[in-house]
Amino acid sequence: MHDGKELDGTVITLLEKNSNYVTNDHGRFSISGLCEGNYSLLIQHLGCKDTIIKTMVKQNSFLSVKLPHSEIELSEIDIMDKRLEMVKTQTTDEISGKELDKTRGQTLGDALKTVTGVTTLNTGGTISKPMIHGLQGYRILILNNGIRHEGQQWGNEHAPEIDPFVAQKLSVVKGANSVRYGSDALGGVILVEPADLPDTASVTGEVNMIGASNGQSGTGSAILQGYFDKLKGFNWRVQGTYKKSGNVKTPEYYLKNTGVEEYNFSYALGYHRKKLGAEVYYSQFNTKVGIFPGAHIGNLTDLQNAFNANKPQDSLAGFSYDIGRPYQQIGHELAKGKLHYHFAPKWRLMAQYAYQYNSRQEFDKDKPLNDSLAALNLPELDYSITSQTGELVLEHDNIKRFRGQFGGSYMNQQNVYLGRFFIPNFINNTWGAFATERFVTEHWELEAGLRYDEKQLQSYFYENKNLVTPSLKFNNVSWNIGAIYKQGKYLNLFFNIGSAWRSPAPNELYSNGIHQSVGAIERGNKNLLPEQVYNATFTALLKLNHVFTEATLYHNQFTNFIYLNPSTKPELTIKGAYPVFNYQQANARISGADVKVTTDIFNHLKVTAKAMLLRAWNEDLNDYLVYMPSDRYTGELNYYFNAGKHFSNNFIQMNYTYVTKQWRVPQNTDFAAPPEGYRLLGFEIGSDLKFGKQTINLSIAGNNLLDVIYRDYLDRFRYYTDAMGRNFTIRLKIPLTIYDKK
Amino acid sequence: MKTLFKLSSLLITASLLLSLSCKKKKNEPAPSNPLPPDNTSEVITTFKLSMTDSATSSVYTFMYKDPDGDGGQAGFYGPGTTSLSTQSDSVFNLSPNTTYFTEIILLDETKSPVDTISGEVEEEGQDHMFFFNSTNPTGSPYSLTLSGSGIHLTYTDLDGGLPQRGIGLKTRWRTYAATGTTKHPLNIVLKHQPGTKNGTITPGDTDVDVNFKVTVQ
Repeated sequence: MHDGKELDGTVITLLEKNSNYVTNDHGRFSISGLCEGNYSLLIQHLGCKDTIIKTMVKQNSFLSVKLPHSEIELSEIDIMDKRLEMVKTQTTDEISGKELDKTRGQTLGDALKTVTGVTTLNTGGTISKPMIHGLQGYRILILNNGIRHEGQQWGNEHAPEIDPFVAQKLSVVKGANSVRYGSDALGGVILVEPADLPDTASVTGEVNMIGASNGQSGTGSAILQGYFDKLKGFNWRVQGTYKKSGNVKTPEYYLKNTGVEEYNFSYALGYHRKKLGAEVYYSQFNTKVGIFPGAHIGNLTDLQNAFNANKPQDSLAGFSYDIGRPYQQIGHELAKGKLHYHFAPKWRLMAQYAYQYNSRQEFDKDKPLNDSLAALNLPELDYSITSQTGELVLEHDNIKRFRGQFGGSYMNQQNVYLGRFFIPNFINNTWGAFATERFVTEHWELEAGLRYDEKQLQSYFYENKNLVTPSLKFNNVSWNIGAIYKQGKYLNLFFNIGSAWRSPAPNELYSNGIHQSVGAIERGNKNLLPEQVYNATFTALLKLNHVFTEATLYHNQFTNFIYLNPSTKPELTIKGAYPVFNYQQANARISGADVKVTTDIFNHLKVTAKAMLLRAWNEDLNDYLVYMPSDRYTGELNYYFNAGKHFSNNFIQMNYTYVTKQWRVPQNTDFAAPPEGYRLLGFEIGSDLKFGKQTINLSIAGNNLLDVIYRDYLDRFRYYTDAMGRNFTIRLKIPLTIYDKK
Repeated sequence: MKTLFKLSSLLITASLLLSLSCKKKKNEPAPSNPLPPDNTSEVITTFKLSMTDSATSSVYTFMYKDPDGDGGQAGFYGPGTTSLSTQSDSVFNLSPNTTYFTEIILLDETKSPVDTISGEVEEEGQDHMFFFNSTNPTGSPYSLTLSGSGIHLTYTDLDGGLPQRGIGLKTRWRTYAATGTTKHPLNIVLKHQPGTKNGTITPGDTDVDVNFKVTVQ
């Protein structure tokens, strides 16, 4: 593994002969009786990335293989200058390396979709919010480079303002995980993690270029990083991304005004010595997203017309990169400073401060009728939210088999609206303290954590032309108990139970008006209580012969689950009737299973099957919960092959996704019945091209190959248009080594 | 000492870089000082139907009013100068065999002074049209008959487009025989049809959609 340990129980498959070998206690293995020639070895170890090695065998050959570790991280901890990363007792899935490369050019939400259990709540093809086990928005936390990402998470069409190119690794922790990162993480945590800054004298980089046929989009991203030879300890990184895409095409028509223009950059400066480390990081995200005007609806009549139409009103437009009204203009900046200090052997102190500023401007379909107002061309919705977070954490490594973390955090948040009122101005102060300890033995790891949070929410808004300033205070405890059982080579079990909570959000308390992008009147409820979840997760990793199985079972029991309850009577406005939704609370449960089975019993061929099942129930109403993902199944074939010395790591992949119809929906709560299930076919071909010393990773992928006409239940555009049609993507990744002293 | 020097130089470089990139909106108020409702974007609060009896020149006004805009408190049917009696009642009466010159007035009363939005609708007449009981008008000038009440309605204003079409802000209403106490539904819709106006109700979005009831007796 990455720490150079000898790995026993590693399965080595000689692909040419389809014969297997297992390493002994010292991580050794031998194959005898081979003829001279070229052979491919597939090397697999629990917790490591499957690796294929090509080797030439002449008489007696020796081969030493270092395996990169991967999604199922069971590694020991490298404590020198790294943060103490504990293997989570919760189920954690990672996307990195080749798997991450395959998602390049996609939004963060879509990239995460490759993880079983993660779906997205979409607004067309360009806005997607990640959903873990059916929970999204405020119920999941996104940690961007270690910082709680804070924007306007409440809106279903508010996608996370993060450039996925900053990440070298995306991790998804499924299930309640509030103890370490603060309240709100009822559904899980998404970690967007950049690579560590380099620690040897070098200047390296990477250029990514992606082109896609649907939307005729182009994305370019570059990263450059180095370690100063002369200034010992200093390292740096700069990174930037530009993306432009135009009108998206469904199998039958283009969707007007669905382009995106995005530019992002980030930089980091670090200072790392044996005992002391410091890092500053800054990132900025800017996007302008066109909204399909046919989905920017008025009253119930307009909605019915849109839903009954064969083709949406604004479908005739051809291709264009132009973005007009309605659109969103979003900016997010993050500045962060971090210090850590190893003040004693095995003890480490970490302090971190971050400043985030998020600006969201939404422009309605039409300018105001008043000429002088129209001339200003102001956004109809305009929010600015400023968040400052501070964190202090004390960590200790193995002391008599105990490892632990203790800490406290503070957040101050200020929200201001400048356009139409929908959510109020507020000042939010939160502080929390936590402690977690873990006991580690050869076969068992036991963990327990406890956290206390207090939150004060001071809001300011006008009610009947009078300024009101309600102040609310919430406090509660989060905890978790977990265990990992490692039965030697072939079986690992993860157990976790815990509780997390979140206070009602300002939109749930005070919103009052037409939520334009939803086309409904939403009414907050001032008397909402905090929402609490009890979560139990069980995961088994099993390796039998050539079959690797990862199965997760989970159950979430909610008290005071906050949801939008439709009112039976639409409300009349001067614009006609609008449906009304009121925020309410109920006891609810969500449970399900994620299963992934991978096998490579065939030569060069890897077969993967995934299933995701979810059931959600409102216990007070004895009915289903709305907007939950339906069951889905994915199959994947990967064929690895040789193609001469200029082409390595060649693969062809075929994938097939079946999303079932979501018929488990509450009655009379939705504008329209859920759409039918659908099946999509895709492929990808990739290779690492070698030109002298330079490698270029090239891949071509196709999605929705059969140009299937479909609508997805979790896409808000499903009321108005079909989903995106066939799309081909070409990806080029050029790793650069400008200078390396090694 | 050396470490301290390095750290501080790191911080200085970082803060220099940060000062280049932080950007805040200029007009951002403090959170404790939220934007008052009359400062937010445009909203149609009032729909007025002003009807002049061609014979007597008496003016009757019927209206629907939602003072705080959509959402918030519900709107109400406002006091007319004739039989529109209670504030929740949307019924008004017209005399038989009479011609009324009718004007629709749209106001944003959250603004001070009050913003007359119907004026802007007239200016953008090529993008706007009123429809009565969802019936597409025919002929030249545009006209239609409201089924039930039998009222014959003629568009008397024209937009500046080619061909010129009616807008419906100004109409002439001709009533015929009395229909007793029967309350005939009267739905009035303003459609915003930028670039798609074709004399039918189908294209565009709804800017206004109000429902009255009419008796002719």
